[in-house]
Amino acid sequence: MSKNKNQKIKQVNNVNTTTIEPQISWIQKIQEWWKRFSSQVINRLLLKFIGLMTLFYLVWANQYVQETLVKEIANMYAKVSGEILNLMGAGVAVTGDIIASSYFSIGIKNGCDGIEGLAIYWCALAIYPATLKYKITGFLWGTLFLVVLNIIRIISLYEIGVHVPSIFDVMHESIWQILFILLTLVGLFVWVDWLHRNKSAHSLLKS
Amino acid sequence: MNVNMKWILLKSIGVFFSIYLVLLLMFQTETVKKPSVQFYMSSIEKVYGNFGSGGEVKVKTLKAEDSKHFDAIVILTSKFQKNKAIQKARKQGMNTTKIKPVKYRISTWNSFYLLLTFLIALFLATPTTWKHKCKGLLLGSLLLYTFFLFKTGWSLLLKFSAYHGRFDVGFDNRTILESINYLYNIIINSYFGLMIVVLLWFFLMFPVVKINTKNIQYLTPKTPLKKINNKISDPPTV
Repeated sequence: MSKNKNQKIKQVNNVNTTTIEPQISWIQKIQEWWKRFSSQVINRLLLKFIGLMTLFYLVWANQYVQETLVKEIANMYAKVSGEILNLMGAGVAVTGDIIASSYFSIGIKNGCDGIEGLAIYWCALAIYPATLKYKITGFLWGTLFLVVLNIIRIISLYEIGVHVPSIFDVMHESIWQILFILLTLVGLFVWVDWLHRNKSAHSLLKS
Repeated sequence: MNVNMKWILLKSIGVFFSIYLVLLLMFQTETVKKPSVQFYMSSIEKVYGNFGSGGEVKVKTLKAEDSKHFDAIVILTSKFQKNKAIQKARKQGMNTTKIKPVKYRISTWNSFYLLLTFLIALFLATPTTWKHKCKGLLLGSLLLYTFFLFKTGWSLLLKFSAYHGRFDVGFDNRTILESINYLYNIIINSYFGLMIVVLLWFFLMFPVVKINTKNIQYLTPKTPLKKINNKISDPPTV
C-alpha cells in the first residue's frame, strides 16, 4: 500500500515537473534577442546612424530643400568644375548646373552632387564617440576631401565624355558611384584610426 | 595609421576592385546578362504579376537598339481597365477593342545588379574567414533582394495610384499619393541603394572582421569604448 502511494507521489511529481517547465513566448524571445543585439556597442552605433540617415533623407527629399539648397550645391559644383576645366583649356560655359562646350555637355543632377556621400560621412562622425575637437577636425578634413573628390569626378567625367564617350555611362554609373561611396568609407576609417591614435597618445602623455 | 593597417586597407580595396571589375565585365556578356535579366523579370512577375485589387504587371525585354540605357519594360494593365474596354466595345457593337497600358522602361543593372555586385565585392573583400564571408553573402543577398522587391512594389504602387482613374488600383487620395511619391524619391535614388548595401555590410560583416592587429579592436567594439581605449598601448608619436 505504502509502495503504491510512493509510486503515485512519484508520478504526480513527474507530472508537476513537466508542467512547471517555463515556456518562453515569442515576445520574450524577441526581448532577449533585442537585449543581446543592443548590448553590442557597434549595433547601438549603427542604429543611431540609421536614425540620422532617415532624418537626412526625409529632409533631403523635401521639394523646398531640393529646389533651394540641393540646386545651389549643384550649381556651385558646376561653377567650380567649370572654372577648373577652363583653366585646363576646355573652353566650357556654365549655366546653372550644366557645363557645356561644343564637344560635350554635362549636368550635375541628384546623386552627382555628392550630398549623400557627405551625409553618410557626417552622420557616422556624429554618432561615433569622440570629443567635439576631434569631430570638428574630422568634419573639416573629410568634407574637404569629399568635395575635392566630387570635383575630380565631375571634371574626369566631362573629359571622358569629350575623349572616350563610349565608356561615359559605365564610368558615370558603375565606377564613380562605387568609388565615391568606397572612398567615403575609407575616409571614415582613416578618421577613426587617427582618432584612436591621438586618444591613446594623449592618454599615455597624461599618465 | 600603422604599416600593417595600411596594408590591410589597401589589400582589401584591391581585392574589392578586382572582384567588382570582373563581375562588371561578366555582366556585359550575353551569357551572364541574359539569365540575369530573365531572373529579374520573372521575380517581378511572380511577386507582382497580380498587383493589389486587379492590377496586372508584365515585364518584357527591350532590344539594345531600342534603348541605350534600359533593358526591360514594365507594362501595367488591370482587370477593371479591360472590363471597361470590353463593355464599351460591346455597346458600340465592335468585336475587338484596344486598351492603353502604362509602360515604363527600367535598367536591370542600375536597379538591382549594380547593388548586388557592390555587395558581393564588399563582402568578399572583408578580411574575415570564408565561412563568415559565405554566410554574410547569403544573408546579405537575400536582404538586398527583399529591398529590391520592396522598391519595385513601391514604384508599382505609385504608378498604379497615379493612374487610379484608368486602373482602379492603388490609392486615389492625393495626400497618400504625395506620401508614396515622397518615399519613392528616396528609395529610387541609386545612392540610397548603395547605402543599404553599406548598412548590410556594417551589420553582417563588421562584428566578424578578423585582423591580427591590436589596433583594429576599436573598429569592432564589443565592450564599451572607454575600456578598449585603455587597452591600446601604442607608443606616443611625439
